[in-house]
Amino acid sequence: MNPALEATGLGKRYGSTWAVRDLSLSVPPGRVAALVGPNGAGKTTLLQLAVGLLTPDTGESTVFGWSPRRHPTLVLARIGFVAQDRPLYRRFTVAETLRMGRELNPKWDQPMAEQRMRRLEIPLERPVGRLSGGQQAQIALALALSKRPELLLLDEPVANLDPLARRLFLSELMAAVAADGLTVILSSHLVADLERVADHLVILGGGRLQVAGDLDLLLPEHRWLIGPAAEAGRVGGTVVQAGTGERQCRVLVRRPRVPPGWTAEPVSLEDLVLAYLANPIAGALPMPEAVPA
Amino acid sequence: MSAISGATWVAWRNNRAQAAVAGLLAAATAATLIVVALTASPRTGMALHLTWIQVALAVAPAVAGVFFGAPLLAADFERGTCRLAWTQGVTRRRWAAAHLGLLMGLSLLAAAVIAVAAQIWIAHIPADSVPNTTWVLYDVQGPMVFATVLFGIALGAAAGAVLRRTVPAMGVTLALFIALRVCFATLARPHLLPTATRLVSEFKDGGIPQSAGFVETTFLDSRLRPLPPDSGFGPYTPFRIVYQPASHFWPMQVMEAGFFIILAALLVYAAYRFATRDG
Amino acid sequence: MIDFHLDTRSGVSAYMQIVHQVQRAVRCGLLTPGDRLPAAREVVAALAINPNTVLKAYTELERDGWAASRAGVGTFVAETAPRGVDLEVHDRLVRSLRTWLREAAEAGLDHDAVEALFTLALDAAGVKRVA
Repeated sequence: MNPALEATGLGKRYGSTWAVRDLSLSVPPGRVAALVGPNGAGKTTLLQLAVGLLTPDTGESTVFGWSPRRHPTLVLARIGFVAQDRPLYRRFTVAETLRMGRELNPKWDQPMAEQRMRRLEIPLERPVGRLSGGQQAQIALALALSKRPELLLLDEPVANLDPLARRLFLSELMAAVAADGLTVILSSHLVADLERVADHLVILGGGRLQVAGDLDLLLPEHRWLIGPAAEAGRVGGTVVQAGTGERQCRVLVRRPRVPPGWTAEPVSLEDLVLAYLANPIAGALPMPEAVPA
Repeated sequence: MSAISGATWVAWRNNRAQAAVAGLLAAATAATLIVVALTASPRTGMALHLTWIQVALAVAPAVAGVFFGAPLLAADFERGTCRLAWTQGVTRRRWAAAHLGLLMGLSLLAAAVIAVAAQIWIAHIPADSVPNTTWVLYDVQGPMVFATVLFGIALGAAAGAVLRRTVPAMGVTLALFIALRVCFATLARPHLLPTATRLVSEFKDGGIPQSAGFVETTFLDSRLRPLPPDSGFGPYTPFRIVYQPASHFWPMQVMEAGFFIILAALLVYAAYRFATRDG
Repeated sequence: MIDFHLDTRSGVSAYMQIVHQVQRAVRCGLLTPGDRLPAAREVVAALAINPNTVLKAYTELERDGWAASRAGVGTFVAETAPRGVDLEVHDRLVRSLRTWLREAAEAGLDHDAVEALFTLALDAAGVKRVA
């Protein structure tokens, strides 16, 4: 079974700056993968490389085994993409936007698109530019979903939306995943949302991959170790974040070996994300993560 | 419009308003030219019409390029909607071809309409109202109008594809259009075909030939050497003229128009290549 | 039919919350054997959570005998689920519990003291544990 998205040694440079560097990862099909990282970490670049909007300078990526450079139409037929800021043709009416989808996509589900608009009570005859941000987001999502993709990539899709609009968007997205077994990769800063929807995590820092894998495996692999500050050096495993107080220290470790007398506490998704974000050097994986089939 | 589909429909729908305005302007220009032509008579002030019509026809290709050619692709890039269009089901090439095809198809139509109207207008100018009308109106004859409109639009499209921002593309289009037209007219045009030279040292030599174009006159002294620039001259001062004979008119038109049409084609190809680069 | 809700601050994972809510509903008699649990699609749309979360919860409920799925039809409360308490009995027990709690509060016990007292008594009483 081909991974939904696989990257090997992917790199993209702008002038002398590498937006993405040496990036290898593998997202299995059926996952909802959260793509996390500080601004400028390369999330948008990665997503655009994956769908073929950008050409890599090094390495390559495939979608279900197909390369966007060598087989653009095969990749386009399998992906749905919602770019940052959710671009839409603002003078088109909703109906015309759906028509655009129909004209540009061989596999277009017009009844699904219309039904979705009716259910969300979005008027078909109104120009898109006159709709609310939440409604525009739903249209962008509907466009991507109605082309029946197998992999949906979203670049900060709920940024600048009010909480209700965000909830409705995620609800629609998850319902589509439940119905079609869609693979989703979405970048977001909102950890609370990611805790609800994600089962796979990819963390980027400085254009490199820090951590990638199923949450079911990643979360148990990490522990907070708490012990005397004097014994900080005895901690085994990969230290992600170390916080030392006067007498006690608290260390977030991957694959820990717990020194005697220390306590180990479970790590939440938020803890994990914050720790890696705060320590961009930690992790920096060059090889694809092993995940179960 | 169910007659067109695919990327062409999207290109049309996205540029419907601009196309309508352009169409109206082209139609209005052509209609004005024809009305002026048909109502012209020696008593109506032809000279007045002549000037502003010439200006309008000289300016039209630049206007077309700046306002209709440049924004076509640039706006899509600037607003980020190219990232929407390029992740549907059609390749970048198909998208670019649809836009450029639509643009140049409609431009050919508009350019042809205006060019024909211009030629009709010229044909109706009373022969005695303006001396040597053919050469004076060299730049606004049918073939030149046709070629320069296409050139202006193609230049705009290429600028939009390269710069990918509307206002800079408009500025560059205007600047390059003027520069290239002026350069060709001053540097290339005189050399398109060999000029003829005639020496008029006495009255019997006949004076300036009928329908001579782009005449350059040099006054001479009695020994047939060029006089200094500020010298006075009278009806018997000898002079030498370098000019294009009447027979060169249409060949020069065709060559210059042909040059700008070929340039337009190259610019459209450049627009296509640049439009499909990473976005 | 049961309406699920998610408490993101509780520290309990989402799928466990669903499991507990089903179990609680069965125990209270709100769900009886044969009742259909909401389809994964519906839960997902209502809560905006990952479908795997719901599937994991339903799988665990099935494994522990609370639910049984019928291919193509849905997931139902199993016959093997612990019998729910009759609603009247349930109300009566709740009322007597409230009386006891009022008495404890008047005696000056705080929340933790009440909890400790109750847990002590519960353990000593040897009430049968199920799954």
